[in-house]
Amino acid sequence: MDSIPQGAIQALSPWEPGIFGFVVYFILVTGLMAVILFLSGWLGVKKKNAEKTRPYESGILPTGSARLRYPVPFFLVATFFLIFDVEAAYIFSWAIAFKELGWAGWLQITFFIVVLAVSLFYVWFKGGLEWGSTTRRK
Amino acid sequence: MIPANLLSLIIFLPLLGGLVVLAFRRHPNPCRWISLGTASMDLFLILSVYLLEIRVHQAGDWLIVEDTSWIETLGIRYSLGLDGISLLLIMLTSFLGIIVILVSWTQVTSRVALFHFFLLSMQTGVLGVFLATDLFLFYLFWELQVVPMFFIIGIWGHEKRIHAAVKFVLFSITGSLLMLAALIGIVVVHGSQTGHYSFSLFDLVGTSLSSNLENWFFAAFLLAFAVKTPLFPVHTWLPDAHTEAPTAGSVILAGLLLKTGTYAILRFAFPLFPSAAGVAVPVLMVLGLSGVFYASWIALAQKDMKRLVAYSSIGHMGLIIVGVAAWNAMTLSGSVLQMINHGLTTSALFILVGMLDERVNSRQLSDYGGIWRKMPVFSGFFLLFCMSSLGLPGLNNFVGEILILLGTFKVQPAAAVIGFMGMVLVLIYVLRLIQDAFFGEPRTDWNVRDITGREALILVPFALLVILIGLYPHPFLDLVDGPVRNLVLETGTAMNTGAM
Amino acid sequence: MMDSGWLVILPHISLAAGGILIFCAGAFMRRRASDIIPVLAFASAACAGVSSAWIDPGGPGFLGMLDSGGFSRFFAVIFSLITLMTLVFSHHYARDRGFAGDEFYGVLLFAALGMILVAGASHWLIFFLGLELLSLSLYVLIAARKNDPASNEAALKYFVMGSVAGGFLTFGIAVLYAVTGRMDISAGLGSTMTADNRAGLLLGLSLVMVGIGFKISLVPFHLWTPDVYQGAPAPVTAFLSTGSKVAVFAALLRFSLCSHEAVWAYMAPLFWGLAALTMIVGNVTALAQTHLKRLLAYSSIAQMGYVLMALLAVKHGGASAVVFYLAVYALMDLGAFGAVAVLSGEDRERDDLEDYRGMGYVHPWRAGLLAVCLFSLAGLPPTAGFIGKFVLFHAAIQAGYVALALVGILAAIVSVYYYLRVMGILYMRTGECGIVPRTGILGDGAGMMILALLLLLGIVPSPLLTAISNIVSSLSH
Repeated sequence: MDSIPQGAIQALSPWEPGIFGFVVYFILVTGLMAVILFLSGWLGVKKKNAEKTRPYESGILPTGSARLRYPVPFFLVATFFLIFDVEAAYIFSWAIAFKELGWAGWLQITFFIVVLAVSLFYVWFKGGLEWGSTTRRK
Repeated sequence: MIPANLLSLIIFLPLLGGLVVLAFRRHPNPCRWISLGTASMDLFLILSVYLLEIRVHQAGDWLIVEDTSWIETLGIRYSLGLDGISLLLIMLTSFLGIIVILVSWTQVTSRVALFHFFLLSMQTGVLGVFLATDLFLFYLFWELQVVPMFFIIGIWGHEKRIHAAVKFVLFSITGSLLMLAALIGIVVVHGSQTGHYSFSLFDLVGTSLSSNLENWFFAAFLLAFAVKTPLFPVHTWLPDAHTEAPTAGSVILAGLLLKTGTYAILRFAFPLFPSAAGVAVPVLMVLGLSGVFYASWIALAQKDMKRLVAYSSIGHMGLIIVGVAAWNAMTLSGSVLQMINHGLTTSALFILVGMLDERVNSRQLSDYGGIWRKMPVFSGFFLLFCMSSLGLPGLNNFVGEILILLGTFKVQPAAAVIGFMGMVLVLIYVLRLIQDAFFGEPRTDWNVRDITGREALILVPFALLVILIGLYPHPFLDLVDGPVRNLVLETGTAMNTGAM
Repeated sequence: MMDSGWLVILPHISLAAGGILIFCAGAFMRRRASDIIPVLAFASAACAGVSSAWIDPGGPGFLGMLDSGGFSRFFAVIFSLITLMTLVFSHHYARDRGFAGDEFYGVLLFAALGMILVAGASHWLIFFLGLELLSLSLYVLIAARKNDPASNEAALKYFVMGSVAGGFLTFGIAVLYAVTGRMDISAGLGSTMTADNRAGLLLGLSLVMVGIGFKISLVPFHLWTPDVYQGAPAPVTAFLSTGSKVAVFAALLRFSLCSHEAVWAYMAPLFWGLAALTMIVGNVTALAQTHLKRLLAYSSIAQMGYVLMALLAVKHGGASAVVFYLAVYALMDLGAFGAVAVLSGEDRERDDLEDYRGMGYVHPWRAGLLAVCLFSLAGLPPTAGFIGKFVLFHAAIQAGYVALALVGILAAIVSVYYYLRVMGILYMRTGECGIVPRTGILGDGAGMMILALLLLLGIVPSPLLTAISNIVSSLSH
């Protein structure tokens, strides 16, 4: 008994204000829910109809298959955004250190941006920015 | 007087011819003639070395050596050396090189150019094994000779040829890769002792190894060589390979490949690891003798004539191993001579069986009988080589066997006595072969011709050599005498210390 | 200083510029693109090779990030050669199968750039950058046949597993940086081990080894290899199995050479286990394969095991053996997969072993290339693989790793069986052979060149070995 700290004994004691009441409450609620669920399952009438087997009962009627083919351009655009967005991080970091890097830095970032621009044109010419199927995309 | 690269020329001439042959892919006959020309030229070169050089030098020295730097970073040199033993063996090699081309003249009709390319490159590999004195170079040739043989068995062989070819290579490679480890091991030990990394046989002889290490190294070397020889427990690839191979393949196997095994034992394994060898002598004798008995026993039960000859071959090689293990001048001379004898006799027997097979399309003993009445000349040759095989006095095998057995008697009387008894077993199965196939009722449904001129051309040199060695072996024994004495002198004492 | 700095990255610039130009040509000159693009690709790869072979930049390297020594230049030459060969093999192959667009050629050049960066990096960031560039390009290349499900599956598999491995690698680099405070590879790994940094150093290195082990497919990390090699188009497989493996192994060799003795003492047992496992599993699994590309994949796994075995000897002068074998390995696998590429029919890859029956006689030269490469992989003379294997075992035994060398030798014996099986199928059986398209003079020429090089290196390896030992000695000091 000595090893249990005084505070814990007080908290568990039914006569002191502590968590004991909370524990009783928790057990009661859980028990009640279990009983209700069991009773309703046991006593209730089980009758299947089409309305009941729908995913969203009493909701909007679903149309078509759930296995949608998402248009690929979404992914393409997302990927392009990600790529060009990440490249922007380099430009920001260069801009912060603009003075320290001087003309050499300016030349390097210009080269970088040129390559980036070329790749944008590449994507464009390859038809990556077209929405839907086109004859231009290989 | 001798061109500086004579040995290289001897080794690589066949390969060169083989490459030329490949250019005549669509013309079989030029292929055969070019191959024959190359092989003859090689034999001519070797014979001229024999005739011109052997008198000039003191017997026992290295007659011709060649040494060029090759892979400097590892201390590997391209060094070749010719002494009496290797001279004798390369003479056999180039002689059989011509024979196999003649043998396959009509037998091989498909992919002729490729076949001759492999035959000739095979010859290069075997010649290289007999002449290399750098361990790495030796290893290279040792592996190189396996590759053409794989194709010769696998492409031109009989029904189960792929199985036999793969089995042959796997056995060989297993041995030789372990040998490679030991080979690197001894070089590393030698290098760390002397600070001089070298693969040369002459440098490595006399490397002092701890006895444990030496035993392991020797075992690895011996395994590689024993597989090729083939020594008793690791012989099982041989009957398959022989049975499935075309006649030319069998001749090369029996005549040349098996010789590289015994040659390497006496050139490399014993001199490099003398004290381990000394310890292993009893084991080798027991294995060799059990080879003799086991092979003869199994040969008695064979129904396939080629298999029978193959097993007889294992038995003969077992006796050679006994001779090598006894390691004195007499047995070593006998063993080297016996290598030549076995190369001649067994090859001749394989050729004869091949000729029968070509005529009747069967190698089963039960399909034959009374051949003598149908093919008297052929049967005469067959009888001659059978007699040679069982060691009739006056024929070649007798000389070799008697030298081995007498020499062994001095060292290990028991082994020699058991060896004599083994010879009796040989007598039994050879006589049975002759009786079943050549005497008895002739098969009436046969209509076979006796040997043709080309076949006679093949067999007559064999017969002459068999008789010559039987009656007058001195030129051959003189050749090996000097080198053998050197080997005994250098290695023998170290062996004895090991045995104690 | 500035001049020599630019000279160092001349090969890199040439490859990058080539790649960008190819993309531009593909987008803006659509009419004549199919003629220009291969020429551009070939020219820039050749330019990279020539500039790294003949221009000695001297100097200490580029901004402390790229090594300019002989080691990097040697590997840059090898990668340029690999790229050139791949271009040649894929020229007809890609055109006949309709994926010879700018993306294929451009990405191939970027992958080559990645390899050169990986092998030449003396800074962790460059190493990582190069590796990611290489991997990203390979994901695209593997999926080059867009309509082939196997190709897509292979790419996805490689992508998912490669990303995970990349994650491990990045974390490992981060831990190493945290512990040593250096991003410079040799300075970081060369720092002495103390009680404080031991755990971090070992953790970091092990994590890096996971990433590297994945890339060179050492055994616990090898499972992707057969599927990817089988699914990818054959020329890409050739590129993947040679270039990326050799590049990452070159980096691993650099790490090992740089690492402090105390660190190495901890890493060596790990490598020992990996090498033994890789050799055994690779070779034994290859026995059961019935498809040539899968068989070659397992064989290439096993080959890396052999090289790793020699890598253990790196502190005892084994580095030149590793470099030599890597060069030879690149040739062998390039030749083997290249032969598969030139032997394949238009509609599908010739992959089932049974489809190769009697090929040796129908297409003697192409099958001959395959045969010589297989012989070389098996380590039989007179091929470069024979010398290579010998050099590897020599290095391992000399450094005292006898047990591992014996494991390797036993594994090599096992391997001979499946190589011979293919040989038997090629030459000792007969069967129906589909029609094989022409590959043009270039494709055949490249095959002949590989064949000749393999045989030449098998007979006179000395010049290359000497050159390599000079290069390696310059690196370790």
